Amino acid sequence: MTESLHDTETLDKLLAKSASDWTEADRLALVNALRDQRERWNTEQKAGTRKRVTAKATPAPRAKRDLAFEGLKL
Amino acid sequence: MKYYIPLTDAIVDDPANYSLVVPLSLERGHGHNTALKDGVQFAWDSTSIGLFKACPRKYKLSIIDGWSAHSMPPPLAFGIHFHTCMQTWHQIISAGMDKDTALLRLVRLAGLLGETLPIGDTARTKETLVRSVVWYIEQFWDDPTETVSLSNGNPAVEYSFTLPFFQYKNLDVYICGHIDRLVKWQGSVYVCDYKTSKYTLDKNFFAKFKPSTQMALYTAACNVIATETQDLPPANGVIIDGIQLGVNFNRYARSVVTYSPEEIEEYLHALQYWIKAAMDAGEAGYFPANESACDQYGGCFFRDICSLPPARREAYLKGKCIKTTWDPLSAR
Repeated sequence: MTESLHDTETLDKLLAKSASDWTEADRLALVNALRDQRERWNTEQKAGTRKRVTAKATPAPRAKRDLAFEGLKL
Repeated sequence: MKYYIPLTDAIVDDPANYSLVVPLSLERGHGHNTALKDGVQFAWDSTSIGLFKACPRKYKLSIIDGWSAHSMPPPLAFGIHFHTCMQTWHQIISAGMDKDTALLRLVRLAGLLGETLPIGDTARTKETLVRSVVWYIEQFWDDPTETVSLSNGNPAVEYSFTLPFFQYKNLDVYICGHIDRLVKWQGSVYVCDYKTSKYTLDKNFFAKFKPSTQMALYTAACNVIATETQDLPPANGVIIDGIQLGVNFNRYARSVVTYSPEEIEEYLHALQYWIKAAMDAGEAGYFPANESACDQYGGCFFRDICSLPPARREAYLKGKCIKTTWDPLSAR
């Protein structure tokens, strides 16, 4: 990952915000970041590394509304 | 207390005038237990039956006397919130909301509920609740199970029942419960239940659900309702969705547990035996301890109390516990 996570909102920071203040953009970012976390964790599991994929290390960039929620299969 | 209205994405103080309302706190029951008459319980759910079967004294302390821990144990709190999220998901989908919008509503709900979780368990936090819900919905986005409709057209989600069972000691005895969801799958009907756990979702995990007081009760209840009111179709058994909780991950596994009519008949016969034994104990005011249950599930909550001489127990209870009411007849 070349971009510094200090400059990017991360999943843990977004989760730490009060849920009553989450905008739709926040929630879209959360869903995307959680999908990303799951995909990366699945990759580590399949590779047998047992490496953790933490919320702190998962970027949560803002996303557009027209995401395709295709769902990821294990 | 605040309430979340998923159909409008609002957080309100007054839930009146809204059709689908989610309370945003972990409320425990208080006050008079309407399932008891003169110290004898006549309306039974799987929790109260299970407690008596494990240890009559534990049942007496928990249900008759109403003693419980000051704060709700994290596994129970997390499980309740996960159930609430999934119930809400199925209700708003059945109301016609598209899945993308419903998912965003669920994320907020999981966040709001997660903020009320008791601290002390790193696998049961706001973060893990939100993740558990989102990853579950992703996993089962194209769920092959289909929610059954009740005879009035409403979805069979969070279906509460109170069924007359038999008469004993001049009391009408009832069995009660709340079915999370009833589904059709591969031509048969099943009760669905969610089970969250830190343990691996292997054969040992799913083996706990048969034999099981709770699962047999739900299946039996469905079949009794189907026969007597036709409000629900008869069920073949239960589909358990297991959710493994990690600090940074979740895993999911689904298992089907079937009960034959003969097994249901056997269960109902045994259930009568246990309920009568509990009612006899209630009438006699005598609830012996079952010492072989003290070490189950990490150790009974009341083990410290039972290890004291009888004269000292009441004072210790007042220091360690609070009074709550577990009333099988109370509406959810």
